[in-house]
Amino acid sequence: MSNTSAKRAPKRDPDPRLTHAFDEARISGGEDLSLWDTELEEVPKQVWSFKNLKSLDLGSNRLRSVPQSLAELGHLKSVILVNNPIEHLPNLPGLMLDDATLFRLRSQIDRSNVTGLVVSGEIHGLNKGDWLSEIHSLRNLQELTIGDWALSIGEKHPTPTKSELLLIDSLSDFPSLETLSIRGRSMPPPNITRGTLET
Amino acid sequence: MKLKTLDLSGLALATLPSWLAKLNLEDLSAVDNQLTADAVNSSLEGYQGLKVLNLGWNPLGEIPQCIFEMRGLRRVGLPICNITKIPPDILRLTQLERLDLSGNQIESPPQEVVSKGLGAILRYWRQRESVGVDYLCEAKLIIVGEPGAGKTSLAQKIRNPEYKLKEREPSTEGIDVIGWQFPAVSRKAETSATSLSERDSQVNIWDFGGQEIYQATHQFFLTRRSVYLLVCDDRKEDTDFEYWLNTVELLSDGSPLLIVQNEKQDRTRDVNLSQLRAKFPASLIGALALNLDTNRGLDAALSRIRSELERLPHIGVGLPASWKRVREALEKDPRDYIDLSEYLDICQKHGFSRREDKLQLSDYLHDLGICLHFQNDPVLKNTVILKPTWGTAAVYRVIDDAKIIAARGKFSKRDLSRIWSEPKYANMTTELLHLMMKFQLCYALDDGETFIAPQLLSPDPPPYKWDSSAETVVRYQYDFLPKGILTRLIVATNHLVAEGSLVWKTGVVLEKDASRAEVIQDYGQRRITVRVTAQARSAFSRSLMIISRSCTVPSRACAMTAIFRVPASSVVPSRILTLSHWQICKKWRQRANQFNATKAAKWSIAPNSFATSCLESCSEPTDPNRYVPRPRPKFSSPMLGMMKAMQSLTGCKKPWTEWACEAFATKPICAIKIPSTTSCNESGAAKRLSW
Repeated sequence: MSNTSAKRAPKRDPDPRLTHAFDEARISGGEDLSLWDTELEEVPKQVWSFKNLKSLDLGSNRLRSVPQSLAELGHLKSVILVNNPIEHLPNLPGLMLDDATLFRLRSQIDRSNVTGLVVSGEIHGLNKGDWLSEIHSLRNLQELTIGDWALSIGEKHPTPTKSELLLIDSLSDFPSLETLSIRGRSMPPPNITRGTLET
Repeated sequence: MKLKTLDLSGLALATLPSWLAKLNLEDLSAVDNQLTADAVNSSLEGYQGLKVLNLGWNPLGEIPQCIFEMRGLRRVGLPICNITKIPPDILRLTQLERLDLSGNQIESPPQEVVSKGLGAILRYWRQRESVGVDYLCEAKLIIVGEPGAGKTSLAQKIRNPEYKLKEREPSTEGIDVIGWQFPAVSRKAETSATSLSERDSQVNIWDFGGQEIYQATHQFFLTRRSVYLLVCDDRKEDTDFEYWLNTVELLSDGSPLLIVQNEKQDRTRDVNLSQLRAKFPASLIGALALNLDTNRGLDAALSRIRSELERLPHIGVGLPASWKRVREALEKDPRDYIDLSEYLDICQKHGFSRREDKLQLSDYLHDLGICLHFQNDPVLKNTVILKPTWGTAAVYRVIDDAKIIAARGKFSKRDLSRIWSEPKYANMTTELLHLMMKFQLCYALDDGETFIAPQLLSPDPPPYKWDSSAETVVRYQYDFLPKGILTRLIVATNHLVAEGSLVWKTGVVLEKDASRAEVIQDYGQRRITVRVTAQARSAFSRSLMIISRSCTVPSRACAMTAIFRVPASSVVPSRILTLSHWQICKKWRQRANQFNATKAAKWSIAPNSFATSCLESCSEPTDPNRYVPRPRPKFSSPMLGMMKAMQSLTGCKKPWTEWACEAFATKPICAIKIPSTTSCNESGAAKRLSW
């Protein structure tokens, strides 16, 4: 499939963003490769040339599947797959997913492989309890990023106080959690950087 | 509980949650909330174990005291927190590696120290704690205006109202500096009014030659933290107020400017002050009318000038007492320049012990424009120039030399020894030549014996061929095009000049591998046009960047940079982009927004997260205009060559490469705008060129 699409597409330079990302990873020792938001439809084959790769960021692309052969990279510890229309997941440890993917694939997923979760949108049809238990089933979860509103699903006016309460209740349920991000929806005042900076 | 990293960003928190105390965190971020210093103190008092703390974008008002008790801290991020002081308690954080205070207007320690980074701040406080504090009352009054407007007469009258005007004051060549003392009546937060009232303010009056040839070098001499006087002659209609106001506003970082109407014949010419004021609200603070023949209006003018000088932000800022003593010793020294070793001895005599402290002081004096010491130049680093005019006079003499003008700016070392034959210059020709290059007034040809001063080049382009079938054109429309941009570009990129000779006064053709770029300035149209062709595939053609920007041009007046790429394998149809200032601003903003959107999408959370990676890019306090979160701080090898060219051109290393990388990561052609570099430490190179 990759071959045919390559033939059909007009010949052009490799995407400079990719070239740039590979150069950058090589310079920094080849352990960390970020292909974030590079409009990928498949994992580029150069990835396998990074034998020491530990962390691979494939977030915000158009990946529908990720090949099992990534397992050949023996040092790989973490694969970020956030924000992709993924239909099929490899059986690899160290996956970082978003909530939509988790719920879409929850019948086929090996939950012990999921070490990172980004909770983005409201999950329709699930109540707070279901949502929490779904996350609780990720017993290897190390990194959780979550909006304050997601912590208080069902509440009309999510406030920091409420999320504090929920959080403190549930923190002890994540024994392996190392990194927790609670992020608000609030935009910084539009000119916060430029306005303040130019005076 | 393994939780080590907690990020509570954009939650509008007014206090930190109480359950923090139960956690054993190493890394805490609470960016973009509503925290005050008190709130932080009460929630984090006694909290130990943190290594990384980021509280950027909070209305802290000061650095919370509790931070100084967290002895394990390695990185602290406090960008845009309304902080004005870095207290000596910072010395207690012995593990500290990085401190980000960008976007704060720090007043103590002085900006020149803060901009040098954490190490400089620590050295400043260590010295000040050990030798006590003293105050430097020294300011700069800069007089500009058209030739013959009466600048020199005014300078003399300021110093001595009884000065007899000469029938014909000779034109000032280059710059004259004269001293003026008056008793200071000072205020200032850090000092009580009485402690300063006893001492004299030392003011150096800088009198600029108005001739056009000198104007191209003004960017080196019009410094911030100065008071400006724009002198206009009432009999003439020739003063281009907008040009001067633009120039001063651009280069001086909002220093105050007074218009002085020199009424040579008691006739008042109307200056549309309110209109000018509306246009330059930051710098234009008023107009004075006076008659230098009769001294009418002089007293009022003098008292106004004094009060503006006293209001300059650096007057009365505390310094380590030893700094002040060295400054006084240097001032009394009659010599024009001294060896570095002598300078170090003088410091030693006045209570310095460490070499790094001594060099920090010369750097500070350099930044203030008191001395010149180019520490990073292999030749000039061994000389401390005590009287900057000694250097400038020598340098201007070369540009004014009839023989060199006739030779269209080409000169040799023999010419220099002829021009600098007097004893005060003769032994220093190598240093002076380097000084000229530092000022970007000339460059050496490959033989190392011949030099070109691009200001004096022929105005007509030499004949050359240009293949316009595969060109990309970017045209920059400036709101205001300062003088000297192109000549500085030529000096900075001289090693790329095609055939070594395709260069003239208003344009240049650059060549690298098989790519060529033509840069032409049209001063009347306020336009710079860049055309690029790339015939072969190469690192350069893949990423050809041309910069038509000079480093001291801050954002307000559309300092801009084009970074663009020619996709080599596909022939680019001739394409013309005309980018006006606001278009470029808009593009830049869009890019910033895109960036935020993607970054936010990365965490699939709404784009609050300017600060997502604040600490990733956490840097020593540098450019308050720096747009803080930067992904991709590294760059790839093919770009290195051009990066270097850009760096040397702009003198602005870190932010530059980051911006460049970001630009590279996106569309084939883009022009991005660079925020002001006036107070950026990397632009220190630029600052260092100025005094």
